[in-house]
Amino acid sequence: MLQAALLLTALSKADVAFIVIGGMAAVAQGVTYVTADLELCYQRHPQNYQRLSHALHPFKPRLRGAPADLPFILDAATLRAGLNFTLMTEVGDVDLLGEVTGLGPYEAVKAHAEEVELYEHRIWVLTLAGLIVSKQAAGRAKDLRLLPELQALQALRGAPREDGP
Amino acid sequence: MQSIHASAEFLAWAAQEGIDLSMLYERLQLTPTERLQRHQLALELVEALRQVKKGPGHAPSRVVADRSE
Repeated sequence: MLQAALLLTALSKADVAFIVIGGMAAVAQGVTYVTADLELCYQRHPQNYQRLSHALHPFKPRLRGAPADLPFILDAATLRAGLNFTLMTEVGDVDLLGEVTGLGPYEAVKAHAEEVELYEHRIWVLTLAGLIVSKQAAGRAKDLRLLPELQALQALRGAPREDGP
Repeated sequence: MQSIHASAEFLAWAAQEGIDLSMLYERLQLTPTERLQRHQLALELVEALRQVKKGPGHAPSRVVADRSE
């Protein structure tokens, strides 16, 4: 089962450049939603590949949905060669995204993120506005289902909305 | 002023559509860490219910996503 606290703490302690996106970002922003995975946008930079792979190593990451005997090592070379990875670890499923639909790569996503305190660490989390843009762009049923609650939260906070129901 | 009216209209629409505004308002009173802690408890409950439904001897399931609390 997902242990977000363990994962976020490990990544933060390792100084990994990442942003919490997707369902867990929505939860951090206040939606009443249950998700079993942790979606992260990571910075595509050689130093960050090292930090990210080292931080996840103790949790034994492997490809989700791939045959158990398929060789896989999450290291800097693997991260450099790919972009998005759907992983399972000993502490839950983790999705690593080099780019976020509707927003772009890490640097663009960060422009739609805010630094918040999570488990005594300063961690970048996608804002409500950023979540709404990315969910609208992704356009899958599971993304669209979350939109009314995200928009309601935005309205409760009193922020002006740029989109309609 | 216009955005305040727009927000009020939207909230009325959201409530009609079944969004539990009181629960959202309650969440906004919590810190982000407290929200994640609440989520962890809900996830553990969902997982426990899935195990009961499956019966003994089943390995824990990975997929619990997309469920409202």
